[in-house]
Amino acid sequence: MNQLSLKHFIVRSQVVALYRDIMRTLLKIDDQDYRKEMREWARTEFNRCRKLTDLGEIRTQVALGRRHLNELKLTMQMAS
Amino acid sequence: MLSSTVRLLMRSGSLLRPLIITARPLSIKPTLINLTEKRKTLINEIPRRWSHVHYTYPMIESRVMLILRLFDKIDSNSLKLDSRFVQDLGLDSLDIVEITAALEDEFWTEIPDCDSDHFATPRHVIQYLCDKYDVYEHIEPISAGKEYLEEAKAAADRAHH
Repeated sequence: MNQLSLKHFIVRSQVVALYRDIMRTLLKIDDQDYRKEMREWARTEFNRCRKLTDLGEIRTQVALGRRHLNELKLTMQMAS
Repeated sequence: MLSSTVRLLMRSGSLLRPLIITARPLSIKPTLINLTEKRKTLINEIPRRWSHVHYTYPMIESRVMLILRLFDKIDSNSLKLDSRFVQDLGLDSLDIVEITAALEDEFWTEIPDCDSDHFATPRHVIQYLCDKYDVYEHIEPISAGKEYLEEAKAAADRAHH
Protein backbone atom coordinates (compact mmCIF):
# COMPACT_ATOMS: atom_id res chain seq x y z
CA MET A 1 0.00 0.00 0.00
CA ASN A 2 2.80 2.37 0.91
CA GLN A 3 4.86 1.39 -2.14
CA LEU A 4 1.93 2.08 -4.44
CA SER A 5 1.46 5.61 -3.12
CA LEU A 6 5.20 6.33 -3.38
CA LYS A 7 5.16 5.49 -7.10
CA HIS A 8 2.04 7.60 -7.46
CA PHE A 9 3.83 10.45 -5.74
CA ILE A 10 6.80 10.21 -8.11
CA VAL A 11 4.58 10.04 -11.19
CA ARG A 12 2.54 12.97 -9.91
CA SER A 13 5.69 15.07 -9.57
CA GLN A 14 6.62 14.11 -13.14
CA VAL A 15 3.23 15.28 -14.36
CA VAL A 16 3.59 18.58 -12.50
CA ALA A 17 7.11 19.07 -13.92
CA LEU A 18 5.81 18.44 -17.44
CA TYR A 19 2.99 20.96 -16.95
CA ARG A 20 5.47 23.50 -15.62
CA ASP A 21 7.78 23.08 -18.62
CA ILE A 22 4.81 23.46 -20.96
CA MET A 23 3.67 26.67 -19.25
CA ARG A 24 7.17 28.14 -19.25
CA THR A 25 7.56 27.39 -22.94
CA LEU A 26 4.15 28.82 -23.77
CA LEU A 27 5.03 32.10 -22.06
CA LYS A 28 7.75 32.61 -24.67
CA ILE A 29 5.24 32.71 -27.49
CA ASP A 30 4.72 36.29 -28.59
CA ASP A 31 1.38 35.92 -30.34
CA GLN A 32 -1.25 36.23 -27.61
CA ASP A 33 -3.99 34.41 -29.48
CA TYR A 34 -1.78 31.48 -30.34
CA ARG A 35 -0.57 31.36 -26.74
CA LYS A 36 -4.13 31.29 -25.43
CA GLU A 37 -5.07 28.56 -27.87
CA MET A 38 -2.10 26.38 -26.94
CA ARG A 39 -2.78 26.91 -23.25
CA GLU A 40 -6.40 25.82 -23.66
CA TRP A 41 -5.24 22.80 -25.62
CA ALA A 42 -2.76 21.83 -22.90
CA ARG A 43 -5.40 22.29 -20.20
CA THR A 44 -7.95 20.11 -22.00
CA GLU A 45 -5.37 17.40 -22.60
CA PHE A 46 -4.40 17.31 -18.93
CA ASN A 47 -7.99 17.47 -17.75
CA ARG A 48 -8.97 14.64 -20.05
CA CYS A 49 -6.41 12.32 -18.39
CA ARG A 50 -7.16 13.56 -14.90
CA LYS A 51 -9.06 10.47 -13.77
CA LEU A 52 -6.45 7.94 -14.88
CA THR A 53 -5.20 5.68 -12.10
CA ASP A 54 -3.09 3.12 -13.94
CA LEU A 55 0.57 4.09 -13.57
CA GLY A 56 1.56 2.68 -16.99
CA GLU A 57 -1.09 4.76 -18.73
CA ILE A 58 -0.07 7.89 -16.86
CA ARG A 59 3.58 7.36 -17.79
CA THR A 60 2.62 6.87 -21.44
CA GLN A 61 0.68 10.12 -21.40
CA VAL A 62 3.61 11.94 -19.79
CA ALA A 63 5.97 10.64 -22.49
CA LEU A 64 3.48 11.73 -25.16
CA GLY A 65 3.31 15.17 -23.58
CA ARG A 66 7.11 15.42 -23.57
CA ARG A 67 7.19 14.61 -27.26
CA HIS A 68 4.58 17.28 -27.96
CA LEU A 69 6.60 19.78 -25.94
CA ASN A 70 9.79 19.01 -27.88
CA GLU A 71 7.90 19.48 -31.16
CA LEU A 72 6.56 22.80 -29.89
CA LYS A 73 10.04 23.96 -28.94
CA LEU A 74 11.37 23.03 -32.38
CA THR A 75 8.51 24.92 -34.03
CA MET A 76 9.22 27.98 -31.94
CA GLN A 77 12.93 27.84 -32.77
CA MET A 78 12.20 27.63 -36.44
CA ALA A 79 9.67 30.44 -36.27
CA SER A 80 11.92 32.92 -34.44
CA MET B 1 51.27 41.92 -32.28
CA LEU B 2 50.61 43.25 -28.82
CA SER B 3 48.35 46.00 -30.17
CA SER B 4 46.40 43.47 -32.25
CA THR B 5 45.77 41.26 -29.19
CA VAL B 6 44.72 44.31 -27.21
CA ARG B 7 42.33 45.28 -30.00
CA LEU B 8 40.96 41.73 -30.11
CA LEU B 9 40.33 41.77 -26.35
CA MET B 10 38.60 45.13 -26.52
CA ARG B 11 36.38 43.99 -29.37
CA SER B 12 35.47 40.74 -27.57
CA GLY B 13 34.73 42.76 -24.43
CA SER B 14 32.14 44.79 -26.31
CA LEU B 15 30.72 41.57 -27.76
CA LEU B 16 30.35 40.06 -24.29
CA ARG B 17 28.30 42.92 -22.93
CA PRO B 18 24.99 42.01 -24.61
CA LEU B 19 25.50 38.38 -23.55
CA ILE B 20 25.58 39.20 -19.86
CA ILE B 21 22.11 38.43 -18.56
CA THR B 22 20.86 41.03 -16.15
CA ALA B 23 17.74 42.75 -14.95
CA ARG B 24 16.56 45.80 -16.88
CA PRO B 25 19.28 48.41 -17.37
CA LEU B 26 18.24 51.74 -16.02
CA SER B 27 19.17 54.13 -18.79
CA ILE B 28 20.93 54.52 -22.10
CA LYS B 29 21.64 58.16 -22.80
CA PRO B 30 23.66 59.74 -25.58
CA THR B 31 26.46 61.83 -24.15
CA LEU B 32 28.85 64.22 -25.77
CA ILE B 33 32.16 64.56 -23.99
CA ASN B 34 35.46 66.19 -24.72
CA LEU B 35 34.17 69.20 -26.56
CA THR B 36 37.50 70.45 -27.86
CA GLU B 37 37.47 71.14 -31.55
CA LYS B 38 40.13 68.58 -32.26
CA ARG B 39 38.57 65.51 -30.70
CA LYS B 40 34.83 65.45 -30.23
CA THR B 41 33.77 62.03 -29.13
CA LEU B 42 30.17 60.90 -29.04
CA ILE B 43 29.45 57.98 -26.80
CA ASN B 44 26.16 56.35 -27.55
CA GLU B 45 25.74 54.71 -24.19
CA ILE B 46 26.89 55.75 -20.80
CA PRO B 47 28.04 52.67 -18.94
CA ARG B 48 24.92 50.81 -17.95
CA ARG B 49 24.33 50.42 -14.27
CA TRP B 50 23.92 46.70 -13.61
CA SER B 51 22.02 47.21 -10.37
CA HIS B 52 18.51 45.83 -10.57
CA VAL B 53 15.32 47.77 -10.09
CA HIS B 54 14.65 48.91 -6.56
CA TYR B 55 12.01 46.58 -5.18
CA THR B 56 9.54 47.92 -2.64
CA TYR B 57 6.66 46.20 -0.91
CA PRO B 58 3.83 48.16 -2.66
CA MET B 59 5.39 47.47 -6.04
CA ILE B 60 5.67 43.72 -5.42
CA GLU B 61 2.16 43.56 -3.99
CA SER B 62 0.55 45.42 -6.88
CA ARG B 63 2.39 43.33 -9.47
CA VAL B 64 1.44 40.03 -7.83
CA MET B 65 -2.22 41.04 -7.47
CA LEU B 66 -2.26 42.19 -11.09
CA ILE B 67 -0.91 38.86 -12.29
CA LEU B 68 -3.49 37.02 -10.19
CA ARG B 69 -6.32 39.19 -11.52
CA LEU B 70 -5.23 38.61 -15.10
CA PHE B 71 -5.47 34.85 -14.54
CA ASP B 72 -8.71 33.78 -16.11
CA LYS B 73 -9.70 31.17 -13.55
CA ILE B 74 -9.63 33.67 -10.67
CA ASP B 75 -12.64 35.86 -9.90
CA SER B 76 -11.24 39.39 -9.45
CA ASN B 77 -13.96 40.44 -7.04
CA SER B 78 -13.30 37.67 -4.55
CA LEU B 79 -9.51 38.01 -4.64
CA LYS B 80 -8.07 39.25 -1.38
CA LEU B 81 -4.63 39.08 0.18
CA ASP B 82 -5.67 36.18 2.36
CA SER B 83 -7.95 34.25 0.03
CA ARG B 84 -6.61 30.73 -0.20
CA PHE B 85 -5.96 29.36 -3.68
CA VAL B 86 -7.28 25.85 -3.21
CA GLN B 87 -10.12 26.27 -0.71
CA ASP B 88 -11.52 29.75 -1.43
CA LEU B 89 -10.67 30.39 -5.07
CA GLY B 90 -11.17 26.79 -6.19
CA LEU B 91 -7.84 26.38 -7.93
CA ASP B 92 -5.96 23.20 -8.74
CA SER B 93 -2.33 22.25 -8.24
CA LEU B 94 -1.88 22.63 -12.00
CA ASP B 95 -3.33 26.15 -11.79
CA ILE B 96 -0.83 27.02 -9.08
CA VAL B 97 1.90 25.80 -11.45
CA GLU B 98 0.54 28.16 -14.10
CA ILE B 99 0.48 31.07 -11.68
CA THR B 100 4.05 30.29 -10.62
CA ALA B 101 5.18 30.27 -14.26
CA ALA B 102 3.52 33.66 -14.82
CA LEU B 103 5.20 35.05 -11.69
CA GLU B 104 8.58 33.74 -12.83
CA ASP B 105 8.05 35.51 -16.14
CA GLU B 106 7.04 38.76 -14.46
CA PHE B 107 9.81 38.93 -11.86
CA TRP B 108 12.57 37.54 -14.12
CA THR B 109 13.45 34.89 -11.61
CA GLU B 110 13.18 31.15 -11.05
CA ILE B 111 10.83 29.67 -8.50
CA PRO B 112 11.53 25.96 -7.91
CA ASP B 113 8.79 23.38 -7.37
CA CYS B 114 9.66 22.87 -3.72
CA ASP B 115 8.89 26.54 -3.05
CA SER B 116 5.74 26.83 -5.13
CA ASP B 117 4.26 23.88 -3.23
CA HIS B 118 3.99 26.11 -0.17
CA PHE B 119 2.01 28.88 -1.88
CA ALA B 120 -1.40 28.88 -0.20
CA THR B 121 -2.47 32.54 -0.27
CA PRO B 122 -1.32 35.64 -2.20
CA ARG B 123 0.22 36.83 1.03
CA HIS B 124 2.56 33.83 1.03
CA VAL B 125 3.59 34.59 -2.54
CA ILE B 126 4.30 38.25 -1.72
CA GLN B 127 6.24 37.27 1.38
CA TYR B 128 8.31 34.79 -0.63
CA LEU B 129 9.18 37.43 -3.20
CA CYS B 130 9.98 39.96 -0.50
CA ASP B 131 12.37 37.46 1.04
CA LYS B 132 13.92 36.82 -2.34
CA TYR B 133 14.55 40.50 -2.97
CA ASP B 134 15.35 41.49 0.63
CA VAL B 135 12.35 43.77 1.08
CA TYR B 136 11.38 44.18 4.71
CA GLU B 137 9.82 47.62 4.99
CA HIS B 138 6.38 46.13 5.69
CA ILE B 139 7.60 44.17 8.70
CA GLU B 140 7.21 45.80 12.07
CA PRO B 141 10.65 46.28 13.59
CA ILE B 142 11.17 44.35 16.75
CA SER B 143 11.83 46.98 19.36
CA ALA B 144 15.19 45.50 20.18
CA GLY B 145 15.49 45.25 23.88
CA LYS B 146 13.14 47.98 25.08
CA GLU B 147 13.02 46.35 28.48
CA TYR B 148 16.76 45.88 28.36
CA LEU B 149 17.25 49.59 27.67
CA GLU B 150 15.05 50.53 30.58
CA GLU B 151 16.90 48.16 32.88
CA ALA B 152 20.25 49.44 31.64
CA LYS B 153 19.15 53.01 32.29
CA ALA B 154 17.94 52.06 35.77
CA ALA B 155 21.25 50.29 36.49
CA ALA B 156 23.22 53.30 35.26
CA ASP B 157 21.15 55.60 37.47
CA ARG B 158 21.75 53.35 40.46
CA ALA B 159 25.49 53.27 39.71
CA HIS B 160 25.77 57.05 39.52
CA HIS B 161 23.72 57.88 42.58
